[in-house]
Amino acid sequence: MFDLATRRIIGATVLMLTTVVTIGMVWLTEEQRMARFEAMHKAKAIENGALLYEQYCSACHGAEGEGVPGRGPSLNPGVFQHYEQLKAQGYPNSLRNFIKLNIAAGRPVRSTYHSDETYAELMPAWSQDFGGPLRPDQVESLVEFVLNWQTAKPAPAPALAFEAVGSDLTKPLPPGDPQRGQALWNQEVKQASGVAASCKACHGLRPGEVMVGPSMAGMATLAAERIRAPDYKGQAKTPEEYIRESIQQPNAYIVEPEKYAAAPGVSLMPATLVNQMSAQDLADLIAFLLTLK
Amino acid sequence: MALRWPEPIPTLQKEVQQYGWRRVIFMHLDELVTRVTAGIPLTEVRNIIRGEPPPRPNPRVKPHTEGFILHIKPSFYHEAVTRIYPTFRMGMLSTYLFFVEVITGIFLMIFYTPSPLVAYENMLRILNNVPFGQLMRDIHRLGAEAMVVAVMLHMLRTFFTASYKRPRQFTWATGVILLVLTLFLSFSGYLLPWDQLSYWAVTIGTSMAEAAPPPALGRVVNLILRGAPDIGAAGLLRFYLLHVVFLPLLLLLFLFVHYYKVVRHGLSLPPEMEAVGEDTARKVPPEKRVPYIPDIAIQEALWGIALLAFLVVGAAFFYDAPLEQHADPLNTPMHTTAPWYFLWVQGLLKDPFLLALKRLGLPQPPATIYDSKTFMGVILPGLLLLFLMVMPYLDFNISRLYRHRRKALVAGLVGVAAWTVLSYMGTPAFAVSASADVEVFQEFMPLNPDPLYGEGRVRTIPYEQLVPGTYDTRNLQLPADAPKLAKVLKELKHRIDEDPQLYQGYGIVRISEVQAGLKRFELTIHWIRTEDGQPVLTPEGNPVAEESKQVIYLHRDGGHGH
Repeated sequence: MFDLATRRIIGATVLMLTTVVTIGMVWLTEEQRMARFEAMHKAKAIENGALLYEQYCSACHGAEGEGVPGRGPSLNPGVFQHYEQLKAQGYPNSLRNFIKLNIAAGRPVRSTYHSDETYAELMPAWSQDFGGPLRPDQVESLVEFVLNWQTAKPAPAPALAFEAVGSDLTKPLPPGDPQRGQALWNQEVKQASGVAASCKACHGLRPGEVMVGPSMAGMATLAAERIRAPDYKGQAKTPEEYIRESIQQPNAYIVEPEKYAAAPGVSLMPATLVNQMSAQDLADLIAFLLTLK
Repeated sequence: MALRWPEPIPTLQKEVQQYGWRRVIFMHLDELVTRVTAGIPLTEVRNIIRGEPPPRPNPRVKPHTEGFILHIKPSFYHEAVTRIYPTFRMGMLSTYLFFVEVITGIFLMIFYTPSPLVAYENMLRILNNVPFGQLMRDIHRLGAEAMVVAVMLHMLRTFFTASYKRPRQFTWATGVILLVLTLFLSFSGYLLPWDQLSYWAVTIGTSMAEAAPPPALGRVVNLILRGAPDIGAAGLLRFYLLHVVFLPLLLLLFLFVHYYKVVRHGLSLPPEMEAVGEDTARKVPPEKRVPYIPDIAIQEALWGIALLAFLVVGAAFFYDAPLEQHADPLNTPMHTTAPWYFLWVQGLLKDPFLLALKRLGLPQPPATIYDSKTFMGVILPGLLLLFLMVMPYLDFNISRLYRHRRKALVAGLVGVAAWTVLSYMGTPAFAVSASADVEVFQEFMPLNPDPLYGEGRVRTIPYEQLVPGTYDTRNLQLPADAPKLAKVLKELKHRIDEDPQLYQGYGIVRISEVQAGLKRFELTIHWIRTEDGQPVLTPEGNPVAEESKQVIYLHRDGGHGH
């Protein structure tokens, strides 16, 4: 019908139109595409952050950011509440930057928000910019992961009705069950508050094993020796009372203060553990520790 | 004193008075067209469009003598080379692709800084904050791959039609240089996104440089190329400068030489129409001439537009340039490969020579005499390249006819086959074996996208179907409403059961939701350690149990399950 040149011109025109139409289609959908990519990249950052969190953070802040008594404070919701408190005091930075700075540069001083708790170490610096192991983009991923707790539905507060045993040494304790005590130690069962006992985060059971606190091997025998030691300042008269005092009032007597005191007269052992324990939990744990001869 | 022209300048008013306004408009339009086309007046443009033959003298050759762009183009082609065969247009397409790369490359340069601190972030910005950013990047990448293909095919065609023979030997030699430059251009761009894929591919590639003999030279070459013992900020900057300045300029230089020679000797005719030593450029009989304007110009425009359409449609709908995680020097992906066009070198590095010796049960040569990496990675490819360049000068076969070139054609086909086989050997599918458990993880849940398995089977499960729970492959309790999860778990069971190295193996999968929209997928593989197919026993006579665990996280918006 047409000669070769005309067919070529028609073909070229059709192809050119195809190109133009395609570019037009890309143009029309470009906004959505960029938004989609943004969301996908954020999702990938959260995935990466989750892996990094599991590797570097969960040992001290808990697998779900619930915190580990004695090692690291709660992040979910701790970090968000802490930020609100700081903001009320006039802290001008954004939540994202607050989290990023704390991860990247660590903390220079103990948090005032968690001042009632004692931790073995301060938050170290994590970014390579400050001598840590993580690249800046990894810090960003961690920030995305931590911030994602906020988008999550607020975790139902463990509003279990229980009476914390507190620091009162005179409170009568029920008879202890060493087997349940062991299960508590191994975190196989939870305490009355619904929080797992965190003893083993700092104490080993093998002789001579020092993690943060001393090993619990031979605790029953040791307790009997301690109460007779000349420098013992506490009120315990029996091994059972000694262990009870150590948990409820860690500062009453600090063994080897140069090793186990956070400050003069303040033990590394958190005094707040008993706020999550019922009298039964405490009795069971004591009963378990008394089996370690 | 008023300055006066020797003659009064014809003003528009006077012209109109003299000729009438219709004629004046035509005259000015005609002048404009003549100037823009470097010599073709408006009436002739009309004649061209109407398909009329040119008058004598032919004004349509004027652009070839007057214009800059067309003066390097012949004003007519031999009718025999205007069809698909024998050129397949590969040389022209390579050139077009080079200019497409220049244009899209400049677009990308605007948004890119060659520093490891920001390069990856720049890539993210191009993809999530620059309109047409992804399209431009995809076209650039697709065009680069297409250019490598086009140059390779161009070379094969030239070989098979024996167009490299006298007088075109030098054209061929510059073509070989252009092939090398094209490969290195593509390869130098590989590093720039600074993601895992690019970092490790280039680490592999540049480790060749280190193997260049003698060792002292290898070290220096490696230092010059990478700027440090390992690729870092200095290496990235060097690759960037190679990619955007040095190699393109060098390529342009050789392109001019190459094309000048092509025009000088004329496009080679099909073998049966032109003997060795004949120079057809100035000996085209008048009845065989096809004028550049308009016939060839229309043809070239059609090819160029077709190529553009291919790139734009391909990039918009079918192809996405990959971008993996941020480069991590501490985390080597399991199956790292060079870009596909260097896979044959990677295949050589797995050393078919040593593999053959091993298979035959012969002793291996000592490493002091035969260093596999130096020989297979540097010396052999270097010699091959050298041979390719001088091949036309060593070719004493005086015929271009296929029937007289049986040995050459067979050698060419064997070369292509060897290239293919070596490329296959370069892939992780050949002679790469990690421990059996790691291979399972890589297949189902790799930490970096895998050249063989992609994102892995687990990431094909839609987010909603990741039903939290514990699944034991020994006793699979498959969730009813998650067909894809059930399918992958069955595949996993099959995979572990069938693996002879995972003796009595089984897997435990734990899926849990850790945050809103974020699930944790943990796979633990348990098996009994074996040696030569027999379970290894402890001194007490118990089998040694092994266990291996890997965790990945999956987010709802992570684009999984599609």
